Amino acid sequence: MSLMICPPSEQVLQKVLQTAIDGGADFAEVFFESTVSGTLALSKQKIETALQNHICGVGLRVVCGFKTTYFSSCEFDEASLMTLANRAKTACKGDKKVTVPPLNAITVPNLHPAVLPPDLYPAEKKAALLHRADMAARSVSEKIVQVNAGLAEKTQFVRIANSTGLCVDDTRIRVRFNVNVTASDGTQNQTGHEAPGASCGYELFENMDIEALARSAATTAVTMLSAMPCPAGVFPVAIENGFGGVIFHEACGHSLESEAVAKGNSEFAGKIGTQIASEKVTAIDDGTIAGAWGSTNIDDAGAPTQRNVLIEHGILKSYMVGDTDAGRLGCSPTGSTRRESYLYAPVSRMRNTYIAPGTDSFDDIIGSIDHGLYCKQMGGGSVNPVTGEFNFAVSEGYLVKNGVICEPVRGASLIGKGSKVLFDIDMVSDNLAFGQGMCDAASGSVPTNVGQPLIRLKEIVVGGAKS
Amino acid sequence: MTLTTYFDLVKEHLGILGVAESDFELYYQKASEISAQSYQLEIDQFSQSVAGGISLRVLYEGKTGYASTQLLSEQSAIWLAETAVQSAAVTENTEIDPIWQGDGQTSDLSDVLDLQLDVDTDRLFKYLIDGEEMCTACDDRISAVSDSAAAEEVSVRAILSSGKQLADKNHLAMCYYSPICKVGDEVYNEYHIEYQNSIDQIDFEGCAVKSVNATTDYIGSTPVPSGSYAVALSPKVARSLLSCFAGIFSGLSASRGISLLKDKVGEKIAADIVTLMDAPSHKDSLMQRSFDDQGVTTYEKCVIENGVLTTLLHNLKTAAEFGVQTTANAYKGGYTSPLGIAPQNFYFEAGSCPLSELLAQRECVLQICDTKGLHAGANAATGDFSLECKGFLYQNGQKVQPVSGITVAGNFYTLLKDIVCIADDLEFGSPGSSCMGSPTLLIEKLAVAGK
Repeated sequence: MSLMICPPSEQVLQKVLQTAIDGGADFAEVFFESTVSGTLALSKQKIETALQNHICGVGLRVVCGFKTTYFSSCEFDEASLMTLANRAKTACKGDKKVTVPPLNAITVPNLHPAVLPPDLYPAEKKAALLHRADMAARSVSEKIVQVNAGLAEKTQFVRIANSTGLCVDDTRIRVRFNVNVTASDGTQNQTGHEAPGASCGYELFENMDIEALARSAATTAVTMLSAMPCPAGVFPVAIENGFGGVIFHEACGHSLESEAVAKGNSEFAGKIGTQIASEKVTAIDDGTIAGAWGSTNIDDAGAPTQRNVLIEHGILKSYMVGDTDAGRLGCSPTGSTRRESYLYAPVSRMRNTYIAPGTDSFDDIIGSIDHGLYCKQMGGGSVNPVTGEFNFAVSEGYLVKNGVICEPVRGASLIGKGSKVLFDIDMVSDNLAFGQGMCDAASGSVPTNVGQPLIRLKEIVVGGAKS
Repeated sequence: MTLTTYFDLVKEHLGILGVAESDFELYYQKASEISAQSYQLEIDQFSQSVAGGISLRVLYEGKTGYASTQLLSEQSAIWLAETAVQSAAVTENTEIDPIWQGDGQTSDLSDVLDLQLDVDTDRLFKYLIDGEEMCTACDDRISAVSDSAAAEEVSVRAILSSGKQLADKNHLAMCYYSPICKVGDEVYNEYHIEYQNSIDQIDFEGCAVKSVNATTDYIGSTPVPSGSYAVALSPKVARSLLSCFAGIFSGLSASRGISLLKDKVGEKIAADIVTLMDAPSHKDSLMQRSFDDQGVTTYEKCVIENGVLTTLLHNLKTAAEFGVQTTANAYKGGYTSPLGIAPQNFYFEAGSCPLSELLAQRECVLQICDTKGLHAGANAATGDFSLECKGFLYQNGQKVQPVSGITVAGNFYTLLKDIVCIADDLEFGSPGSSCMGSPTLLIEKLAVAGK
């Protein structure tokens, strides 16, 4: 059986919003969610776990001036909603008189349809997909000691209603595959990882070479077994496309989110129109890319997503602006308001964020490095938006000597300051690609794409265990 | 609907599906939380949430299935039973994963569903704003307090099977200040965070002062030259590293071949001075656990004794696989998660050396007090870590300069053997899935990248 959950009716929502805003607040919003998520995990060559989770609940947000009050609950019958509304009315006092118009829910056009939604895709086919990955990874080397593969799927229905009369329904479907391969020579382990995902159904995997992905992860793990510890120091570094885009995400992206900018807690606050990066850098955040991991039809405040040029040839053009920060910044929201679930008040977040293609070739970039590092695969990272200090991990790296990619090195990390590293991007290739990740911040963990072509940093601090 | 009524509903539907009464378990979790942030001496954000859910673990044809929901209704009970059985049917793992029937323990479940937070929000707001004001008052270089938050949480956990009925409740309060200090073109920003069982136990203004000191201590900080250094890991940093690599002590990781400790029980894996404990009821920790997430009564255990690995951590499933007794370390990351393994209060035992003496043990010691990016820069499968760090350089026991813009890299398995001195300043960190504790550890040599 499927679990049929009816969202609160338009009439109930209007009553709740009116009560919540009657304390004199400027704005009220209800975010209802019913989400079914599932994971299937393979380990030790067997399907080890299959999970199905259902969450549902409401978040009530009330804004008065610059103050945001947020109540959430997994109980959403009318009486429970009115309890929340009355608490909000008491907690958020102002001098506005707002009448909530009658609501009429509309379903927004779906720009990211799922041809094979998770609940219609047979469990046997999902399991077979993981077994294929396992076999392909193990075929690479006898040194492969473990393959952990998984599928994650999520179908999220939302109804977002607010005191301006907006009432929209949207369904978001995402699927993701992951394979983590461990190789061992008896004294040390190394790992390789691939994790593609998209805003669509299981049709994603009908045309994907799962075996190639698994072999790629296995090859990385085996290659890194022979890697020496990375030398520590300051070098030129080439960062490959795809998940390499995490450097922009960490070094700059978070500092361009209005959550940080609006209160002056970003090194890029007040710098619209000024040069903050080298002329080689054009950067975009786009929530509209069809089927992309970070795309949605509407953001989590109900506004259509947009394509925003953040930096154009080094000049800061725009921030990613959440709806409640727009007032502080004196600009319009950019469809960037996001949250993990109804438990979180939404804030401005990245969606699909990338550095646009340039004109330098792979050979030009590698050939320009006498002594440096080529980062083929990146791990995650983090940033302090206030200072711009960032860090991220290199999961597969190679030394570059005299313009040639040489031996692999392990355990490398890159650190720096966003405002400096953006000026140090001095070469940009044309092979734009994306990688998928989950980004954790104030409004929870949300799917984000990072992307870039191969780029060169003229210098950066490289951390490694070889001194 | 009460939990026991819901339990009976699920049991009825599982019976129809052919599941024996002793072959299922319900796990319930609920939390209530209030949090606030202040900005420019006014409350800027306030939120209150109540959320939880229930998961069903079932043994069906010898295999384990899971499902979870937030709804406690007859409809959801049917969905939960059917979905968990379907989940079991998909899995292929027939290793023994028993439902613990308990050893006669029972808890009062009467107040589990009725979760109330008794917090005076006006008092919470005042404490928070007083702390923010303290940040700017105690140092005129503080231009703003970038982030301030306080929360109070009460969470309940209950496990029900045909043979047991257990519940516990935890209270937690937290405050956090992160001031911004501008000196010329340089911006400095660190934080201090404090946990207690209730907001009235927290010293908000004291926390604010510590956050200012944590920030201003780094004024004028620079990288040190790249090279090899004797490194003193502060309790905070040592705890963080232990947290990242706690998984290597898990029987589950060993079973999956991703821990190099799989066949090392009884072998020396650390320096003689190292003893690593897991104590679910340690008096200095805010986390107290009387039963694990399978309902097994917890107990104190030594994991490394004088450098020798004495046990891995197990739940009932991995204990059966390894032919040992469970160490009562079954853990669920939330009601939606499958059963795994985690330590409870996991800590390196304190040594007898005062910190000042430890910092003078080598001519040059780099004290690391803060590290970032642990989720990415530390690989539990390999033991490798390479992390952005801050701290202080000591020469002959005297602090000579604050240090930032560096990385410290090494391997955790090697680090355990390279601990040459342990201070007497054991501290426990924030309660979470586990609570980590450590004193300052002096490491003979780690690689540092700087200038």
